[in-house]
Amino acid sequence: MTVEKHIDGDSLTIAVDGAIDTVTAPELQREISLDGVKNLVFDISKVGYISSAGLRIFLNCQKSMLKTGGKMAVSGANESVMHVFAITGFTKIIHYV
Amino acid sequence: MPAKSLGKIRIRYVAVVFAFAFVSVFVLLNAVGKRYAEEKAVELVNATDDDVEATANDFYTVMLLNDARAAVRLIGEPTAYSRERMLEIASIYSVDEINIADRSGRWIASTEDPLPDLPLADAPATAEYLKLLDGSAETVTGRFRASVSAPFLRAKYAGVPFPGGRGLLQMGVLEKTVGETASGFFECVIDGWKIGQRGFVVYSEKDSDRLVSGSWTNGLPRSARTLSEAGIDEKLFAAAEHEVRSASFCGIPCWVKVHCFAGRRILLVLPFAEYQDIRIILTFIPLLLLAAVFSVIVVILRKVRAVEIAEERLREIERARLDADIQMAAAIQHNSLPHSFPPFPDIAESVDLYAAMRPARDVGGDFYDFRRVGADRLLVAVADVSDKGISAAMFMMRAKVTLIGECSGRGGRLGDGVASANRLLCQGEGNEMFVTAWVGLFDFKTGRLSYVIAGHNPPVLRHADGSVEFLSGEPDLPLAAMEDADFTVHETRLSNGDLLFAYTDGVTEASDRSGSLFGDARLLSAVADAHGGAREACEKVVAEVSAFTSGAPQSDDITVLALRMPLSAAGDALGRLSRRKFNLS
Repeated sequence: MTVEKHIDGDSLTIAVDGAIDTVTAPELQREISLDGVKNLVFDISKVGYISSAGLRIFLNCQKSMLKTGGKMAVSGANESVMHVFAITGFTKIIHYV
Repeated sequence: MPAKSLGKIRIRYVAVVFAFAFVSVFVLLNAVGKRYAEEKAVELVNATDDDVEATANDFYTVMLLNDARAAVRLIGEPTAYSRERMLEIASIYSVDEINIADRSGRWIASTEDPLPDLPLADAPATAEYLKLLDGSAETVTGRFRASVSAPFLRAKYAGVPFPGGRGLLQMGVLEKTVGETASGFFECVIDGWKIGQRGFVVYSEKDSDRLVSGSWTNGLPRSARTLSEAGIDEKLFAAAEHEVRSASFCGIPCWVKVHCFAGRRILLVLPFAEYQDIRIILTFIPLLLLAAVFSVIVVILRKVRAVEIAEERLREIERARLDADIQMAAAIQHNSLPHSFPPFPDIAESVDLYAAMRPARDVGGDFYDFRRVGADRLLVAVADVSDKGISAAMFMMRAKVTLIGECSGRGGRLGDGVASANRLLCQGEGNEMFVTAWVGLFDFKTGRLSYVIAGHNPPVLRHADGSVEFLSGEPDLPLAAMEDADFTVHETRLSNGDLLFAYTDGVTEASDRSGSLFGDARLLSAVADAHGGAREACEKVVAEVSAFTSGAPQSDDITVLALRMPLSAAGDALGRLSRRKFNLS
């Protein structure tokens, strides 16, 4: 898994390449710093698999953004990842673009 | 982690290194010690040699001066005696030469013929004697030395003045002449002369190989009566006259130097043993130090190793204790799930229920449970904590008690129960886990099924005709994810012979060695192909998953739960109804 971050003012785009599983989720978590971020976008177009540990990251980010009044979106989720979001009810709280 | 464990450095290797060091140091020190001892010995013997020469000179200086003063007293006035008279006087004192000079420094009488006519002042050898005439010296003496006239004969001269500077008397003696009467000198001075602690001086009789048996033995065998018996041959003699040589004296290894004086051979003998002590000290003290260092290192290594072994044992004990703890936790967790089937024998004919959980590790994060709610309803739940291990297991226990408690205790208001359980599970700082759950409330009298999908995989519904489908309904968030999450209660109705199969994602995400997932399609067909009731469906799916993974390590807990409305149950209900009708009629 590789992580690329792009900051534009108060917008942070995090592009992830690879699976977000039990092993890689802590690495991704370390990369994420949401201080002063109002717009958070996860580009997961190159993510093939998300485990519950990965879901937890999205959940925690979503909670943080809600707390600070920011917005979070996930873009480029493929079919199987979308399926995971759907089964786990995450589609109800996360904005997809 | 330390780069390398100190204790694991083998003592054997240290021993090899030290053995090498021992040998090297020993060889080096032995060589150094030998060299040092040799230098010291040669130095000491040479110094003694010089000392013997100086002592002989001093001894005969005193003798000559005594004789010269006596001769002056005997003569009284410096007079031009005849040579005959002079020879007479010389014989009294057993000297070889006597010369008398007058006040002006001119020889006037002598044992020599002709009388030396060169004034004292004009010959370098005699110029010094003028000091006797002007009173600036009381005596003039010289060492034994070869004279120009007789290069092979060493002679010694001494001079004293006549009272009042009236003239002087010079007396000379040849080493050869001294030799005739020198036994006193040898007996008193040379005999018993020691060199260092163990060395000694021996001498031969005049012009002879015979050793004088004095007090020289110093513990050495007295067996040798001659130099040759002592092992000192002529060849060595010649060599040892100029420098210190190693030899064997009476079988004892020694340093030897020969000093010839007055026709005697003086042998300076210093046994090698003289510097043995210092050699031993020089060699063995560093070796002892090395041995001490080695011992200390060995002791330290042993101690470190012992500590490491003890730590290892402690870790093993700790691991064993932890293992035991985990086994105990696994047992507690296992026992917290219902295992006796049918769980409610009184309604066994109305509803067929079976469930099983197979943890990926000793303890799991999955659970299932069921509870009676009122007379006709059954609460069933299948859940999966989003983690593994002890912490997940503990959270699972909490989630199970909370979820079942909240859902069964609210008069069957499933939505309220789940929402309340969710709120309770969201409380607690740092709770990073969430729980996906499928919770159903089944009315086995009517077949009505209400259920909540909290981020969980949809159960499979197998109809009485054998067709299978996933139970519909849009999932809500998992429990413990968001405190204010809403949970929709979905409704459906099971018909007689319908089977509901709930599970956790350990089933659909079980992977084989190539990484392929078991997936939904295999699940559907496994449920469809299972003949019989709830137990058969559960066992069929587990068996299919095992067959699919074929020995690949199980990565997630696998939980299955099946609930079936028996055909006969409905029949019984109808039967009872018809019987009642019958009775009524």
